Amino acid sequence: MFRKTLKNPQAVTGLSLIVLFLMAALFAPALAPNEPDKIDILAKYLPPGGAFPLGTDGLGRCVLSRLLYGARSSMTIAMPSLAIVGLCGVVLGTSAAYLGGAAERVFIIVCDIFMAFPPLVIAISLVGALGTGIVNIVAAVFFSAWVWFARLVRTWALAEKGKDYIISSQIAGCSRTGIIFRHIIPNILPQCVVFLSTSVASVIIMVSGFAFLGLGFPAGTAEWGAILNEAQANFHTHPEILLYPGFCILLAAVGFNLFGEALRDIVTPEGAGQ
Amino acid sequence: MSAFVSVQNLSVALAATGAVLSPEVSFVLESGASLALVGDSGCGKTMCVNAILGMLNKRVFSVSGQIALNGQSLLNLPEREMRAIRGSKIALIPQNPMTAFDPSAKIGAQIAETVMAHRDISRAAARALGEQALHTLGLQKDVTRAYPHMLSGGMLQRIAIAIALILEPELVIADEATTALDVINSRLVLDELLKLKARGVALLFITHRAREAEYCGCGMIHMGGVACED
Repeated sequence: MFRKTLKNPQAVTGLSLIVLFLMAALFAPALAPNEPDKIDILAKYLPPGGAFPLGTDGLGRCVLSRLLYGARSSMTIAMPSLAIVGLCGVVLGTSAAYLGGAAERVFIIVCDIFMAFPPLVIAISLVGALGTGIVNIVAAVFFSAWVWFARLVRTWALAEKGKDYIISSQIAGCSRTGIIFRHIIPNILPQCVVFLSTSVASVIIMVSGFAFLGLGFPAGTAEWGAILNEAQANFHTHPEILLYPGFCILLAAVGFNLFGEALRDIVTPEGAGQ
Repeated sequence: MSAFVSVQNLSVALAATGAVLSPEVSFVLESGASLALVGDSGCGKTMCVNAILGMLNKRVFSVSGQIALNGQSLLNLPEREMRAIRGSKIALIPQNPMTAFDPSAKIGAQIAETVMAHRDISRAAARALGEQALHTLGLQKDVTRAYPHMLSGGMLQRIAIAIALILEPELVIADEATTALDVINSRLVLDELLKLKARGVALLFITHRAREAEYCGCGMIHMGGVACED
């Protein structure tokens, strides 16, 4: 599978973008040329060059350093929240679909309740009640995103449930948990992987949106959405500062989307023999 | 020899309306004997098989009559006990081998899974048992490393037979086991079924080709018609 990934140009492009951003996030303290939060009001709006490779913002902070640290905040929210969404969605969705009956009805009712709330309302009420911070934002992302994924998983599992090989394994006497974990989940995994990897992009954008509204991290924290928010105030005089965080979000989204789509082709077993 | 399988006045109806879906069937099958249910498409052959296997949804279908295996009544048996019987005491050879295997798992793992669902043995031992069963059907053990889409329908059907036999069931049901295959592969499968009979397994053969039933030397029951014994 690793060799197949390397042969797929789309996967390599996507993966290198992801690795680039992960490296930036991981080694931000070593890579950043300046302190991301150091304010120097006299050095505001410096053009790129010298000690500031991408110039400085309205408070004289190094733009490059803030973007590098921003990758950190964005990734530490997107990755864990999607991991929880994925785990929760796959287990609940497949179980509901396979067990059917009362379990499925309860699942659908809970889903409908969650779907009735717009994501932003959940985020605002959670962050408002619990305060800002990584754990609370991850919780907000999880509560607004899991239901969409879980319902999707349920429909995929329903389609899989009626297939002959599931009936064969029932006739062979396999247990329900065995069928769910060994047959249904492996067969819907390609779709799940694609959905989750493309969702990374939308979670980054969602968190940036929260930060843009002031719901993200404490004020002043380097985060792409927050940087974007601060830059838009001075859009007419210094539009270039708006472009940098925008490009970061865009490229991260492109990277995860490309890799997710390529990954589907790689993990789908139909191509296994070729 | 004692009667292994006895089915009395078995018929399936819709629970909601009471509409009868399969006509009443009665038969007694001893080990080493075989019987064919013959009938045109849609006459309720597979419905009857599903009733014997306990695979019908009790909320949708109502099954009347009696089914007994070694004197133990199978109707109204709790799901957990029925699951223990399926696969180990009653095995099914599926209608279409091309769709009866999980496309994302290797053959070896799928065989081992069936064994491990019924016997408390290690994965390695289950795999060894699987390879042995494949060997008796003239298949190389290489096929355990293949995915289902790499193999032909005939090979898959022989693997399905191997899986059905691996736990030494007392009753094997072949539900249209040759329908999806060409003439040559059908013949191979029928020969395997004959060998199975020789080993003392009770065989219930479902088909719409009376000739195949004759080839297997089965007594025949015409569904929705007159029963004729040989």
